[in-house]
Amino acid sequence: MSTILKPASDKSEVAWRGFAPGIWQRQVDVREFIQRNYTPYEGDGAFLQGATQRTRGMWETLQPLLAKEREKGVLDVSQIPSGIVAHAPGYIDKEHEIIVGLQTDAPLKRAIMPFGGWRVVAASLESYGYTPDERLGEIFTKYRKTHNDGVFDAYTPEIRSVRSSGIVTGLPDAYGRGRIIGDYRRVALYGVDFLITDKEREKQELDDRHSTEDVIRLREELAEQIRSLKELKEMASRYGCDISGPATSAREAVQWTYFGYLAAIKQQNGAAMSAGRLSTFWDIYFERDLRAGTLTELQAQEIIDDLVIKWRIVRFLRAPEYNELFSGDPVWVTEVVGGMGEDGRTLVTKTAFRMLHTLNNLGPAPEPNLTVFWSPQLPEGFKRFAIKTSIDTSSIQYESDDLMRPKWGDDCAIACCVSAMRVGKQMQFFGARVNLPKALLYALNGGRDEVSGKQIGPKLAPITADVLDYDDVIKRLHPMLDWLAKTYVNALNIIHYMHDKYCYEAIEMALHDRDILRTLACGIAGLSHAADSLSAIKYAEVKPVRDDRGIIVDFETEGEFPCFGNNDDRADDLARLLVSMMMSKIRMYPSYRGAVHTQSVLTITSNVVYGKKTGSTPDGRKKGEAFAPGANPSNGRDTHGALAALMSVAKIPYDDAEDGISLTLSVVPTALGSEADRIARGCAALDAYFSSGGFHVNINVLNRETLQDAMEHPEKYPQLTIRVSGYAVNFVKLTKEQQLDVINRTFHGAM
Amino acid sequence: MSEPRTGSRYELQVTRKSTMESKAVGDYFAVHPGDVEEIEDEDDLVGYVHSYEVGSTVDGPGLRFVGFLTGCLLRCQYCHNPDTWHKYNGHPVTVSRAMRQIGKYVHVLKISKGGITLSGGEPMVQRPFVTRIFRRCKELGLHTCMDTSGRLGDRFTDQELMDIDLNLLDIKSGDPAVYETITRQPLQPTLDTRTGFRHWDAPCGSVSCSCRASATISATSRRWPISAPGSGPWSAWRSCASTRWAATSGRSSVSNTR
Repeated sequence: MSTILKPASDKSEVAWRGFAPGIWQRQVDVREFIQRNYTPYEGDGAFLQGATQRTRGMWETLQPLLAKEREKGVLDVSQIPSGIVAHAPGYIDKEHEIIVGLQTDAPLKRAIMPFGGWRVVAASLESYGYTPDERLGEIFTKYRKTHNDGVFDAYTPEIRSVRSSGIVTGLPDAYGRGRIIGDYRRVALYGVDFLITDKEREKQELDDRHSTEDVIRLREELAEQIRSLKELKEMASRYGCDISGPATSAREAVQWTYFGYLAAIKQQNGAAMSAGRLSTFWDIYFERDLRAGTLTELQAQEIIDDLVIKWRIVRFLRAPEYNELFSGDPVWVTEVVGGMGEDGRTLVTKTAFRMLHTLNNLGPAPEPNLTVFWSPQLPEGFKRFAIKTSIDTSSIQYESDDLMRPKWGDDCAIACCVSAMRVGKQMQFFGARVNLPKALLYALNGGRDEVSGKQIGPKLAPITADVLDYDDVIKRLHPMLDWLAKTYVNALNIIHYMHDKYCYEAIEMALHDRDILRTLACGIAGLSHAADSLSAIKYAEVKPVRDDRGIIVDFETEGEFPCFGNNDDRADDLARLLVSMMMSKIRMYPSYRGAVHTQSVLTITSNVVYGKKTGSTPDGRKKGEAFAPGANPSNGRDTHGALAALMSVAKIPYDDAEDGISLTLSVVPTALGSEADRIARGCAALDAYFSSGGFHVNINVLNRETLQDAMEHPEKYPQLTIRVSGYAVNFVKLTKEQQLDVINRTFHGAM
Repeated sequence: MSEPRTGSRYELQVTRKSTMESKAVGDYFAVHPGDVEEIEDEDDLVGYVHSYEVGSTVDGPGLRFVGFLTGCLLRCQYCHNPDTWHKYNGHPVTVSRAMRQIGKYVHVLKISKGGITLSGGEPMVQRPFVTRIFRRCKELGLHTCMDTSGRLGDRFTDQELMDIDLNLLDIKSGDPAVYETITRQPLQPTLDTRTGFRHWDAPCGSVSCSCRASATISATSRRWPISAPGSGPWSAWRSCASTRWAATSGRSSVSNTR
């Protein structure tokens, strides 16, 4: 940054009392502030306090509303198009709330966000029995174009056909792309006035630049950002808070930060609206207030508990198609705790404990999506506390701090499930994923779809041999993946061009630097089935079965072949090969706004719908059967226990899957040994996995019978939470199909 | 599609020798010659393995690589895996093949303060194979553990016992009559083995344990009829085994071994 700013000095002197000074006082640099001021905590959770009467009362107040919502699907809807200042202030219990702010004027009342697309809004409303407002319908079809309209104006026939055949699915062309994390801490540390001044400086710096398309777009975006910051201030003032200056206490720090986040979720219905990495930042304020005697531990926990209650009731109105892809009404309020700093000190603070402790105080819940950055270097006390909470609640996910830190630094957070990004300095263009097993089938069938019979891919000669030959299959797979990557990147470029144009995330981007790193986050689904299929072709004898159209619709596989998930290099190498092969092809095609190409091995819950659209595969998976989620081995094929599965997944190279590799592990409680040993063994297993190169793991510790009982008697399990694929859900909110998919997964009887 | 055996938990096998005759021998409950005979000690000798499992947490401290060997003399009423009674029901596996598999996990077994456990069946049936594996594991710096009924304890020399950091000696009952009713084998050899282990307690850190009260056994044997081999509730066995391990872990830990 070339210009150095002066903050509004009188306010900041009070707000920053006692903080170690630094560059952060003159320019936006939250990381530097944290590094100079935070207190690492290496102890255990003994200091923690339970929920207060007030907290429990607040949570109880919501229970009847939540029960009613579970019954109806949606509690209530406001048809005022949402915006930062669109709705009057809302409260759960105004008298007793410590942290205030709701998306609309009442809890669990969902807003509509028509800038993404009117059709989607109308369909969502109708599916829950509401009649869309006619006047709005007219405005958003006749007078105002939306993101969805823009995308379909520019889609090519080829993109439309890959979309409908299901080889590319879940593209964010009819829902918000999300996966952007505003640096909401900036609101608390600097106050909005400072941020507006800084954005004005950024804009002025462009005044001398020649007005090319890029510069014009950036100027317009900065103007939008400044406008949204002003709205943020206005919204907070309606709640009685003046956030023009920095926060002066712990409670204000949490409240200011939350206002920033609240503005984002009022403005955008993104597929993932993540919170960032807040606990270490807040801890500095908690420590200061605790030292000054103006705050007790009980009050500190109460602030965090109250905030988490707010996070737990974030809601968006979403269409049935969306629920198919991302089942269980997730929002991905992902909050990162833990991790090690670049200087070797741990970033664990007492507030990291307080954050995880909300699961004990309020019971398990899918949101916020609590994410622990694990490193074998983490303090033992924290490791043990996290694992214990995991065993008790199945609500935590773990990601490799040691893989992310060298790439994204020690102030990165997770958007959605596994997408790491430097907070306030990086965003991604979310790109859903392509269907790898289907691509393999296209390679065998010369580009014809095995379900519809239509020519979707390039018309290449189909395989005519009676037995599939591995080298021949690989030779045919290359041009098919080339074509797929090209079509895929084409589609994503269009989507994100239009998203920027018609549905810009002004407030989230206002809490970023002007010049950021963008990634184009591609993805693959069905990795284990594609790898096992190649393994079958290579190590066993696979005979294709053709129907009367001459299309291969099934396979007869004779002989034995190794499967992904057993720590067997023969199979694991094939998974590695597929990941790197797809990535190198994606990198060939230039991206919108110069985004860096990345890729995830993550399905969220779309593995079910992908499987439904895909024919039988050579690994023995039958037509329509669900894929394994994310990078999971295929159900029941990982027969050597959890550790072997972990080791296989750890071999997938993060360098070629920089948007994350997701593994969901279900173990029965007894697999971790006797109660006394469970925590130590859980820690040992994670140390082993992450020190072997593993990237991510969801841990569910439960019995299959519990889930079966919950399917029969959902009313008995309102808070039963399970991790599915990068996020957690209320099990009873999943569709029946999704529930069965979860139940059918491997439950490891041993680590 | 045939069940994929390669890549499955049974994949350790090297060849499928013609062991069919020995499998087919008349009375399944009888002790077959192959279940007791000594294998000649030879280079890259072959052992018979039912299956292996990685990451077990109930067969010793930390995370374990567990090899379930075949061959056993005991015919416990409640046996949950009678498919491990006869040695030649297992898959022939060479020492080097087994070590290649174990070698993949050395890092994680160490980091989890775990190691390798040979169980069965009755690992003592295959003494040369077992001792060879334990020796090679010690060379890799792994913690070693043997889960045994102690029936064939007299086969092991002191030198061989030196390579076992922990013996989980399972004494089904302290009462000779009950013992014989349950297992169809005499109690005395097991007691002798215990004496032998105790002798070695200080230098090699072995422990012996007895945790299954006879009352428990008669109760469980009624619930798990032997007529359905392998159908016993797996998780119930697991928790039983974990209790057993918990009973010993109070008295020993990896840290007090060499």
